[in-house]
Parts: sequence; C-alpha cells; structure tokens
Amino acid sequence: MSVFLQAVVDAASVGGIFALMALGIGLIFGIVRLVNFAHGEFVMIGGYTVLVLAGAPTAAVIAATLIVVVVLALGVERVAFRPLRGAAMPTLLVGSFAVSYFIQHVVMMSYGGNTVGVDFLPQLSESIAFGGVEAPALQLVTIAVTVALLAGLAYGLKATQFGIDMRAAAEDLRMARLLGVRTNLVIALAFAISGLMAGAVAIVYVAEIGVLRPRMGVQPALIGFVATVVGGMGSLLGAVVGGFLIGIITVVLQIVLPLELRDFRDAFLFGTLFLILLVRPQGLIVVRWARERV
Amino acid sequence: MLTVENLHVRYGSIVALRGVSVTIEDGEAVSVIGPNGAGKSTLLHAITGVVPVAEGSIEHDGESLVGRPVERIAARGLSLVPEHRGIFASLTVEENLLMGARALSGRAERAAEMARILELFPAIAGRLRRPAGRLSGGEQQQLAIARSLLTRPRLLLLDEPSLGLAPQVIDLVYEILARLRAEGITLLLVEQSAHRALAATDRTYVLRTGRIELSGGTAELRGAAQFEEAYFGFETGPASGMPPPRDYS
Repeated sequence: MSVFLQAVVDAASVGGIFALMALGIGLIFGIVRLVNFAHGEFVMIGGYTVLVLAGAPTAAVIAATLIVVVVLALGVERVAFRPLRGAAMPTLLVGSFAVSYFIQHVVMMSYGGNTVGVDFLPQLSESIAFGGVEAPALQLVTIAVTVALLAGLAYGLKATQFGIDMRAAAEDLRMARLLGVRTNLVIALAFAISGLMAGAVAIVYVAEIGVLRPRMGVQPALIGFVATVVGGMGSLLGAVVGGFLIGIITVVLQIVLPLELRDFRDAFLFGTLFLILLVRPQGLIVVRWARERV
Repeated sequence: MLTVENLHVRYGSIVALRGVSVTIEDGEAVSVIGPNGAGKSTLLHAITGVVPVAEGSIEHDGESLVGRPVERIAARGLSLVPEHRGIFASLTVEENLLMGARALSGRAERAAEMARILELFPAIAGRLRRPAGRLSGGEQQQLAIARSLLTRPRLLLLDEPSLGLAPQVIDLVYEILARLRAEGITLLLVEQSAHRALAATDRTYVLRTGRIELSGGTAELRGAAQFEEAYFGFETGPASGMPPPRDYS
C-alpha cells in the first residue's frame, strides 16, 4: 500500500511538472497555432535567474523569477513571434527553434556550456512522513503549486471575460476579432500566462535537480510538447491529462522495469507513447477545429 | 452611413471584386444577392476588415475603414454574422452571448441587455448552459444573430443566414430579421435566395462575378425583366431556349 501511495506522490509531482510544461505550450498553440519550443528556454532563464539572485530572500527570488520569465515570454512574443503571425506552420516552427537556440547561446556566452550548481530551497529536500508515505517536502510543494496553477487557470478561463475571450480566440480567432477581441492583447495574455507556468516550473525544477545548463529546458519542453500531442493538440485539458499520463507512465516503468533496464526507461516511455498514438493518433481528447475559411 | 466605392479585392491572381460601389443609409435594410461565387461574402469581409482591399474606398460615417484591424472596425459598431455562423462550439450558449456583450460595461448591464435580446430568441433562452456546438443549425443561427445584437450594432451584416437551414427555420430567421428591420436596425443582408432577400429589404444590389449588375428598390426590381438576366447572366424563360433556372428561394 505504501509503495502504491509513494508511487502516486511521485507520479503526481513528476506529472505535474510535465502538465505545466504542456499547458504552457498548449496555451500558445491553441491561439497562435505555434509550437513554442523556446518554452524550454523560458524555464532555463528562470533557472539562471535563481542563480543570479542566490542569497536574496526566498520570496524575492521566487517573485523576481516569475517576473523575469513573464517579461521574457512577452518580449519573445513581441520581437520574434508577432512579426511571424499568420506565417505557415513550418516557418513558425523554425522561428521557435531559432528563438530557442538564440536564448541558449546568449546564456552560453555569459555562463559557458557547462553545468553550474545552484542550491535553492535546500530545506525542502527533507522528507515529510504522512500516512505511511515518506516524501520530500519539495514533491509536495510541486504538487501544491501544480494544483494551485491549474485551479487558478481553470477559474480564470471559465469565470472571467479574459478567459472567455481566450477560449473563443483559441477556437476561432477571426470570429473573436469580429466581436471586438483585440488580437495583440489576447495573444500577449496567453504568453504571459505561459511564462508564469514556465517560471513556476523553473523554481521547482531547479530546486529538484540543483544544476543549471543552457540546454536544461530542451528535454522538459520536448516532453511537454509530446504531452500536448498525446493529450490532443489544441485541448488544454488534453495537455494536462497528457502531462500527468507521462508522469504516471514514467513512475510505473521505474517500478516495473528490471534494474538493468532502468537506465533505458525513456526508450520504454516513448515506446509506450508511440503505441498510444497508434491507437489514438488524434490524441486522447479531441477538439473540434475551427473552420479556416477566407 | 456606409459608403463603398469602386472596391477591388483580389486573392492572389484571382479577382473577387472589380469596382463595386454600395451605399447604406442609417436605418435602411439593403440586400446583396447573386449566385455562388459572385463575391458577396468577399464584400462583407472587405467591409469588416477580414480581407485586404486592393483598390477603392470604404467609409463609415465619413471615416475610412480600409486597412483598419478587424477588431477596430467591430468596435465602430459593424457586426458581421458570418456564413456558417461562427459559433464557438466549445463555449456554452451563454458564453457565446457574453462574447457579444463583452463591450458592455458591468455585469448588470450585460444581464439586462441579454434578457432583452433573448426575448426575441426563445429557442435559445432556455439553453444558456449548453455547449453551443450541440444546438441545431437553426438555433445556432439565432444564437449568432443574438450575439451580434448584443454588440449593439450600428450596422448588422448578415452572410447567408438561410444557408443549410430547413424551410421552416428559414421562415423563423426571416421573421426575426423583419422585426429587427421594423425596429430600425441598419441591415446589410447577403443571400443567394433572391426572393427572401428582396422581401426582407428596402433596396437590393445584384452582384455577379465581382460586379454590381443591377441595383434599385426591391419593389421595382421584383417584377423587372432584367432582374433574372442580371442574376444569372442570361435571359430566362421559354424565349431564350435555355432551361429555366432553379428556384433559389
């Protein structure tokens, strides 16, 4: 029983990070139809912000990290993606890769390509025992942060006019504009929320792994992207489901795989995801695409 | 008042409109009719800023709309009910209406305006919590019109509101349009169905292959001999030797 509960906590904390990554990518894709691979660099910049501010009060570090990443996301939208708006999918894709590599290499110029250690929130590595489970406090914090952000986003999307505007714009941007929705505003808002998610991931991820390097965001962004595809491209709920599903599969593989195969866990993970896509190529949750007609 | 003059619109090398001029006075109901592909939707899209204007002018109350973003034109009170209705299927009926009412200030005003508009549309009034995608075609059309009315339009542009609807439902939609016209709302109605459009408006323009072929008061046009020629591009009836045209009503 305790093994099971332990696994649930692991899956929820790992899956939560993937879900937040997927949501950050899915939110942008929903409105702009852009797969933002630079999302990983948002996380990475968040990580380096923590490093730069090391020693400052924790609350200040957290607030500053969130602000830096949100401003970065808004800046990337304004400088790189807005001029590309309406371009073909391959152009957007290459554009997002370009932004991703650009940010990585700017950081490399300042900090080099090697890993840098950062000791953030060390007090959270202590374990807390409850109900027969022992889990590091950080895992519980990660779960709490994920739940809070998901609940906040769900509320905002459902209960505010901005949220309704965003969902409408995601389904049919042209119709939303015909009803007075300002494109620049709604897209900027999507990037700001996406940045907030990336900033939150940065904080818990950096506390978890304790090292930084310029390419640290690539893997989480890739998994986040895979989660949006498995969950159903264009569906925010799908992105969350996909993220948690990848977390669950990861933890299950960690338990059931024989020791000598555990190093190759990701091969089994992506193999499983491939099988899921074979059965449901459209993803787990299908959205009705808005008609595109001129 | 809307004035369109010598409007040209191109999609790449395809010319969709070639020198179209249309005026709509405040309080007037005007229709543009013509066969499929005549450029009717393109005209509405050019007015609302959805497609770029290649040449010519579009003025609303003396100000040019050419080159303005879609949302700015919408903010001036030009509200398009597009072909296929443009319902947000994943939003509820109420959320769709809120998208129309988004410019109204305050919850109370929005609720009051929504209640007022919904009196015209009893079919959707009882289904506010439903996903809009689950409504029937006729209900979606009513929702689209209700949503546009909530923007308090100064000019309501309707793109083939009868498209894909059963005859009884079309009657219902046109009853609603008749009521709006009686209330003095300025209407620009685009239709393939000439008979209904003529009955629902004061003046009409016949558009074919991107040009206005004929225009005038609906009463005079209804009996006019040159009307069918303008619409179909050839004379009809036994004398012409051509098969009689399909009745598009």
